[in-house]
Amino acid sequence: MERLLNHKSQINNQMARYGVKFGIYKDGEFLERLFPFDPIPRKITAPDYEKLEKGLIQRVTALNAFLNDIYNNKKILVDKIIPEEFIYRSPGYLSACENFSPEKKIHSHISGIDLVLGKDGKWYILEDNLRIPSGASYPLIARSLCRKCSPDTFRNNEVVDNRNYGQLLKETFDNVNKGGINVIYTPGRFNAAYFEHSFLAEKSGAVLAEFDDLFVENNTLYYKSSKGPVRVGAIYRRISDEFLDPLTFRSDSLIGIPGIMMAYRAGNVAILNAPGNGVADDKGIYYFVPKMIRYYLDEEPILDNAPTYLPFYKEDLNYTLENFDKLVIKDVAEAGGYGVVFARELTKARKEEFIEKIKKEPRRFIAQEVIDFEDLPIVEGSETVDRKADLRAFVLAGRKTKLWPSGLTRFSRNPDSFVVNSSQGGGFKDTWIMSH
Amino acid sequence: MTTLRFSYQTKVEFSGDVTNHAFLLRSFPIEEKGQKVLDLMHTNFPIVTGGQYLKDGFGNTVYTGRIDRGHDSFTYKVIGTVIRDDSKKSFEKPLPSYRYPSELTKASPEIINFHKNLNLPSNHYEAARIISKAVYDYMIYETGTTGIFTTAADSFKGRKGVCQDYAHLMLALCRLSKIPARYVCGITIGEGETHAWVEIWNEGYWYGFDPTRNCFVDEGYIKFCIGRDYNDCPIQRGIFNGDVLQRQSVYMEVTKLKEALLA
Repeated sequence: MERLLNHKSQINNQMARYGVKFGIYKDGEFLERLFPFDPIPRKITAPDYEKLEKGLIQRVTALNAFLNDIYNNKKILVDKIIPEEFIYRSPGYLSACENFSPEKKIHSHISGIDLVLGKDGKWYILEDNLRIPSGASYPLIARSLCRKCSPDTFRNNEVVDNRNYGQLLKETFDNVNKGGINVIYTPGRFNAAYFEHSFLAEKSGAVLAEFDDLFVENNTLYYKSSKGPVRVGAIYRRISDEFLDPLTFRSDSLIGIPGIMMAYRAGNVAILNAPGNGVADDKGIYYFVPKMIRYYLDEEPILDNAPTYLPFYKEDLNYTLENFDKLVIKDVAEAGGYGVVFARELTKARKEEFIEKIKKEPRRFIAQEVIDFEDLPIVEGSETVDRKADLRAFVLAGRKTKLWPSGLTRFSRNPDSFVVNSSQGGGFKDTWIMSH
Repeated sequence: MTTLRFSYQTKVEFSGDVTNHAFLLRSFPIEEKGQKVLDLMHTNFPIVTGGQYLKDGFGNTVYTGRIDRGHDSFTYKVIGTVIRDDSKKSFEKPLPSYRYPSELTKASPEIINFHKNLNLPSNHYEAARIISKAVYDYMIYETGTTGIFTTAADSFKGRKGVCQDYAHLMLALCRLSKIPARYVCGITIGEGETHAWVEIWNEGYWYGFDPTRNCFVDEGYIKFCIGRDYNDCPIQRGIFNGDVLQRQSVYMEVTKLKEALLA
């Protein structure tokens, strides 16, 4: 361990050389930042991991069943487990996905589930990311650099190898491939996660394609290789739904692939993750995930949500207003740590304004108890300090649904902040799953 | 029962050559109990490669294709014969999304207020009749004041618009009353441009209302596509390379077959 700590600056320098960067938008400007790495790993014990594994696989399985149901039979709405409002007023619901089941009924192939470990020793799910969750490449490259800098560390600690992510991703691709090559589609160099796109393409053996490398003909997707067009069987697209196909969604999208939605509906290409998943990782829908697990799987949820209230329900609205100061309020339409408000931090005027907003548009907000989650030590200068940290776990739905034995641990660099999203300028750690 | 012969043509002219032109069309009559297609012919110019027909999420027939070589115009033509029969309707369960506001049909506070003042009855059909008439009375038909992305809220404010705006406003009002309602695009007896109207769902069946003309939809209407609003089902969309201006001319003609034979 000590040896690893001594290598902090060396590893960060190496990562800078490799271009391990994260882009953020600040005041409307795109800035590329290095994603600061902290050498002290988060350790998860084997029994703890086993529970996470079962719980996360259960959750993703239910979410996939939900997505397939919503775009086809809508049983969960007919049975009134979830109010229709939460589906059809969600910006993530896409009518273009109605009446269609993707290959093997998998909608969320790569899911990034965010959790925190409460001081009570329990893991809590904070949110599900089922669209294009990023971040797997960071612990992957950090681990490989750590191995190089300090091989002994991994000889003396029994850490589960995480280098199989590329293989898992390849299996996930191959499982739904409709005949043709696997492609990772990136919006290009100016995207926040470009480093990750190229890295994952290399690790999974997929072709990295940019705008203009792909086209649709005969409702079939092709890659323009140096030897002529090659059919694409599966595409892991790292652009959001609204930009995916200018013939179906935003017509002003310059980074989309015209006609891909019809190629997808024709069953000629698999899209990872499927379009329309936003309806399932909406913060309002989050409240209903434990109900989905019971409804589709007839099982009790293994992992808990953070205690959440839906002002949409009268009872919950009253609770929210009575306990306003101790709650965290989230705007369901926002992502990346934006639109998260700790009520106790608001001025009196802002608070009143906010309460009015909730009363007026209850469907737009959720309220949650602030979970006192664990601090992890990070190295700052010559000393070690404690900072809030969460975990993004990656679940891949291939022939079997699997949890990747690693994950992205993000920490807040600001000692007073509970928001650990990388868009908000935090750092990251490697996540060690211990074999004992 | 009415037999209709129709011809629909659109020509898009570009001010220079365009390449890598990918496009999509929804200009084919919907097949349902009250609307049977007897024959249909679809042609494009210049020649399209890889053209395919497929259904979208609403069950509309979508034709996708591409023209890669340089060209400065694109014309497509659909000719066919349709039997319309309003005594035959399919029993259907509407998509729940037809009850909720879509991007172009969100109600503004002004629309909500307007809705309140209508004092609508609870019967869907009766309410829709009143809404259709109210929209017709409120709006002034004027071309050029609105565009394809104009919302119901905006056209309500300006009080002016075309059939698409009339339809969007009617949809916004119906959905405020929780009446399942959908946007319809198609052609009608006579000649000229395409038209847009509204269908509302009442006890298992869809009924057409035309707020622009203040009338019920009859057997002189041919449905091409449906959706929650215009955004869900544009008749045509294209993406190409080329920095050009474009001009579009639409021409359609619908005649009752008997009259056509006599002529």
